[in-house]
Amino acid sequence: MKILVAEDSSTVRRLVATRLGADGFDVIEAEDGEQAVELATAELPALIVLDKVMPKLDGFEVIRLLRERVETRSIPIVMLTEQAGEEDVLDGLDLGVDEYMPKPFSPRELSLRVKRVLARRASA
Amino acid sequence: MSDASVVATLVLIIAIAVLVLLILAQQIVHRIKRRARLVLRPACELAVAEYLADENASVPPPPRNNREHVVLRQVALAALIELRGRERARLTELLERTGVVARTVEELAARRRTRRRRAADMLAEMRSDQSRSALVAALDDLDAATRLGCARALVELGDDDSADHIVEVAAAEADTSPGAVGDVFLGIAAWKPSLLGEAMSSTSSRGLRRILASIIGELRISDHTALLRVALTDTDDELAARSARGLGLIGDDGSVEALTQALGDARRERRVRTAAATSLGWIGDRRALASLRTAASSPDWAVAAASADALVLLGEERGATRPDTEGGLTVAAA
Repeated sequence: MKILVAEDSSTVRRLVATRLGADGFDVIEAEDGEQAVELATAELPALIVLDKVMPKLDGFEVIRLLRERVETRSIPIVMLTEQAGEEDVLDGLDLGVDEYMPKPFSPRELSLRVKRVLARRASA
Repeated sequence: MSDASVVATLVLIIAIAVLVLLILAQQIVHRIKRRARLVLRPACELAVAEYLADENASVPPPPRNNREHVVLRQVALAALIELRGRERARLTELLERTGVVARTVEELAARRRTRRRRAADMLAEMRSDQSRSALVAALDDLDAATRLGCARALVELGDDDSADHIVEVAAAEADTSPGAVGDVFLGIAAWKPSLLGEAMSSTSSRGLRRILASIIGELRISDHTALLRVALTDTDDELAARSARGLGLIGDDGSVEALTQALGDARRERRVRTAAATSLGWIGDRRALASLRTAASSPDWAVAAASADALVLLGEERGATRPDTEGGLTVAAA
């Protein structure tokens, strides 16, 4: 199952991608918002792990663009962010974020949340 | 122009040229080193990620040279900031077993204070027991920023034995480095909040009392409301204003009387009275209604505006002429 990890920090991207890879996912990576939109549109991943703060397009802008396109509209999103204030969470949920993962985080826990979101989608 | 001045000019030109060349050479060397580290970084990130992803993985081999050491430390610090829990602890263990912590501890004794400061900051992020004794020793460093960095690192480590020493080091710099001291006490608030109260009661430093009042209020440490009430009556208006705000943030209804007194005290600075009004609104106790109604007609527009806002929080209708600009006030909430 293909997962897109969009995160500008190469260190965090590697931590997340390696953890998800070890759990059996096929991981593709984007280092900014524009690349995330391009890869999501081209590869149609089963889920996107998305950092909120990224160069070129931030996480919310990425979601807005993906939600405008029929083919990417329903891809579930787990948002990885250090800004998990109430307003941020509400804005994200309003845009269709499926799960929030506040930083500092545990990659193991992130992987479990990814699995939970995918299971929820599968059973819906 | 005499021969001597020609020679002097030439010497000066040559010296400047040599200096420029040296600066350029230094920049080139720096760039080459940076590029070399960038080349090493992806492999290092992968090694760290694979180690953390597999509970049974053995610790990667220690760095073979200085460049590898620097890259491992950079990658680990970037990861430590983002990680928590078991994975964070395993990364610290990796830094201990690869000698990175030991080498950073050595840097605490460097001749240049900038290196010592940086070492203290990095050790605060690493949170390794291996650094404990060196950090305690460096609490007596000649450089204040290094001392504060070590204090913060020991707070992160939760070093009970040096708690008093940490407070002493931080308190001594409250007037000169309030930001760094605030960081230390924020850490203490999460670790041993009782120390904040002890420091607040025992210090005579105005700067430290201001910092502590802010932290107690912003973190809503309700055990220390009595101290804030005392500080509210202090002659230092900044301390009193911070204390007033803190009592409101905590929502302490036992402070209504003290806050109404501060609000009604015309000798107090505007910041104290507005903070008191705002806090009375947050606390939401109707015993404050009369004082707020009076203050809403204050000739001081800021006090009147804050009181009018507080009255709305207490369920009063907003007055017809809520003041919003200086001098624009007449009547607020009726």
